Amino acid sequence: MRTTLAALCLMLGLVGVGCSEGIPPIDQLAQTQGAIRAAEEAGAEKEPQGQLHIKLAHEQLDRAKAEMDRDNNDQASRLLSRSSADAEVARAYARKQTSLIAVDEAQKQVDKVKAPAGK
Amino acid sequence: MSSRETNMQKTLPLILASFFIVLTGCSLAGCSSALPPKELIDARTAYDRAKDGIAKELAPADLDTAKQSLRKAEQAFQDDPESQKTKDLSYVAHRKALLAEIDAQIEEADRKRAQLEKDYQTLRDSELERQRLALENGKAALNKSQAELDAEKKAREEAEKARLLAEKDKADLEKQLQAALKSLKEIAEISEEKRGVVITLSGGVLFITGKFDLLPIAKDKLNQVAAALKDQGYPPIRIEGHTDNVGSAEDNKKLSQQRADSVKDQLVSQGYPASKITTVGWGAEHPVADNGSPEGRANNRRVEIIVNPK
Repeated sequence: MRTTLAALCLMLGLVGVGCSEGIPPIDQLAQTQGAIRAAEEAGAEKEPQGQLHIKLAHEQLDRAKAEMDRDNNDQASRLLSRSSADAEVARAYARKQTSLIAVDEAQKQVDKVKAPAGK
Repeated sequence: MSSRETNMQKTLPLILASFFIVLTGCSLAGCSSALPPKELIDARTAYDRAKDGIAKELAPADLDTAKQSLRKAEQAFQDDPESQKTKDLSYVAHRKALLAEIDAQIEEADRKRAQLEKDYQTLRDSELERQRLALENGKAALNKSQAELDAEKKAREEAEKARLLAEKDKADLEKQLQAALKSLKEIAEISEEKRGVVITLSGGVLFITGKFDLLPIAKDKLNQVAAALKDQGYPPIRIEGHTDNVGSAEDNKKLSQQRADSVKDQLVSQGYPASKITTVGWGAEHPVADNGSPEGRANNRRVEIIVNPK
């Protein structure tokens, strides 16, 4: 009987929510902050979609910090992953914008050279 | 109590078995039948879009990362559809798919820019070449017209120079002619007749009566005539010898011929081309004065030099 109950408890323990929390994701936090900074330096906030993802990155970074304060380190780590992914996307949008501007400028240069020849 | 225990002993395994079956069933069948969270649906959609778009060609590494990320999310969904971990991994997978798509667009833009820069270089080079050629042509045309202008100017200057020279020559010639005529007038009579300009030298000045040897003074005079005609470019001349009517006509003709030849020899000795001189002895055939008086006879004894005879 006792054996059976112990087995049940063990099973419940396995199926139940894992409460074990790992070590605080300090390195990941630093990396995420770095990724956000890089996106901001690339000019992500000047571009609407970049701005949205920077905002999401910041929100999730803040939430991650809060979870770290509560020692919910696993959850904090996953939030940092989300934040980092958003920062990367924001930075990509900024780079895309830069590339598109460069294309525009190159096109203008070509048009400028073509114009007098066409006249 | 014993019957209760007996019942418990009978029913507990059944309960446990049922519980186990429910749990296992839930964790297996429940997973596959559970609806995926919105995050996973978004991730799948984003990945499919990236996979079917330009990312496959332009950002294959990013697409692969997105694929791995989605696989993890799918695995988490299989393991625990409702878990926050599944949502979080799906969220990240969605971003990775977006990233692949954006990176592909960046690559596409960069390639387009590179091509445009190449086009620009080519166009600029050809435009520069066109301008260089136009400049060269313009320069050549300018040089040509400058050369033409120079040549024209030179020709004009030369023509002017030639004209001035000709004018000067003409004036000089006129001057010389006047000088020559003046000097000739001192020694001879000059008249312009139908047969040409006639220079008449008195026989008394040139010869001793009955002879055809020139007197020394006569040679000087003839030399002056030669010099004057030389300045005229040695025009063709005819030398005519004339006598008075004293003596036989035959002798007179012979003498007049000899005298004309003597004059010719003297002129030739001064450089006058012999080919330009003809001589004739008329004897007394063409008197210019009355042979009845000594004065008239003296006038008839003469040598005439006809310049440019007609």
